Amino acid sequence: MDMIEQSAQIEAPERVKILPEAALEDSGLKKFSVHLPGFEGHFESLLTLIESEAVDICDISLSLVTLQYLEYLSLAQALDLNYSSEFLLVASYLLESKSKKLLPIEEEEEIEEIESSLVDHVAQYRVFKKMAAFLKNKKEEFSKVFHRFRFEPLSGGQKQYFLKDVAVSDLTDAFRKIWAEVNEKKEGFEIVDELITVEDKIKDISERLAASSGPVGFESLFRTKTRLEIIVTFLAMLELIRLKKVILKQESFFGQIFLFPFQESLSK
Amino acid sequence: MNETLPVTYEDARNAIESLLFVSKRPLSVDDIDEIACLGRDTILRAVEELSSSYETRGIQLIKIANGYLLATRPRYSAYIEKFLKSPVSVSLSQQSLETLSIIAYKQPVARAEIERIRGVLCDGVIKTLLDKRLIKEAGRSETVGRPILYATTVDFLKHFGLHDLGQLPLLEEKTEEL
Repeated sequence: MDMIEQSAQIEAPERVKILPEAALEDSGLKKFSVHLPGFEGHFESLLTLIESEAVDICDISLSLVTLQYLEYLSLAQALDLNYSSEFLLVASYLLESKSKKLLPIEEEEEIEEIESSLVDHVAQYRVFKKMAAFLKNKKEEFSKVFHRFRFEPLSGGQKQYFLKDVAVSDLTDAFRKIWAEVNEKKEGFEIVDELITVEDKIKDISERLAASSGPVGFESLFRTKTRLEIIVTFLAMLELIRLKKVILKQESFFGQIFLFPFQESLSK
Repeated sequence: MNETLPVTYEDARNAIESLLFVSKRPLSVDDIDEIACLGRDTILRAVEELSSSYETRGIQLIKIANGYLLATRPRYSAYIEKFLKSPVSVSLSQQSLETLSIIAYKQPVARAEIERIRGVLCDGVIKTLLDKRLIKEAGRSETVGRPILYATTVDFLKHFGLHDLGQLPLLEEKTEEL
């Protein structure tokens, strides 16, 4: 590394100096500038120059840049995380591209590829940063517009998540409760007087949901409370959930579970 | 039902207006057509006309998430916020916005690609965005490991007041900024 730095000083091209700093100083925090044999100015400008090949990265001592950055940090009143992570990002790209360039590479193409991938990458990242700003603006603008159903997925309002509100353990608990009831009630033999199929029960549940304008309680689904009915009902309900015909919701932890008709419009 | 169907164009337009007034979600042309059976041309014409008739009013007809919705004008938001007693805006973090914009442009996109662009791990941010229903899983890539792909949702459009993804500004050439 030492050797390289020495050679860098010897080969350093004429000084490149750009960007007035006044504009930035207005905004409060002074931006990090580097002072190198071949370059003096803002760190970001350095990147730009390297990308545009006005400065060869091999002429830049990255250890010097890092040293100056650490100095800058120690002087800064407060650590701006956004800015410092940006520094890390850019610095690591520089480091990567420099180390790749220093390695003997036979194919000339490969160097170009690395350079262009660096340019692409940083450019892409910047574009997306700009996009993020666009979205933020849009959001701010739109937050002043009200309508009948103010859409607020972010405020943790009504969640329509498929089975989101009911954990599997809630479901099994509810099932156990019903199951225990039937085991208490019926000791001994059970006379099956009616065969209920899962299809029947699916139809039954769908009809009940359609008939009632609101939700249907989980426990009210069981009518006769025979073992067969409980098992069939439970399977039918799971099937309806799978088919996205029904969603389950719970009032509170360990509260009663309700079935709601699955609303396509809300889940679209 | 037949006798209630609109007979004149004005009638049809007013019927559409009444639908938009009660609707709690953006109504697409297809939605309206399904209910009112007026044909796309009539609906589009009516929507245009309604929209311009609101121009000087406190409400407006907005195009959002591939549908139409009656909404207030931003100019009067202060009154409404006072009435609702809620400063409603909930902000997204910078990381969320960046991740979201990458997904919006590159969808469907795998997490690895997002992380490659941002240079940091994104699983937490992605989970938040999923929870907020701004993005969804959109199948799996056919590449090695079959990673889950992510795409934006209709809620994303609604949240940012966008009509469709085409409203996002075009990705600029990289040379522009450098």
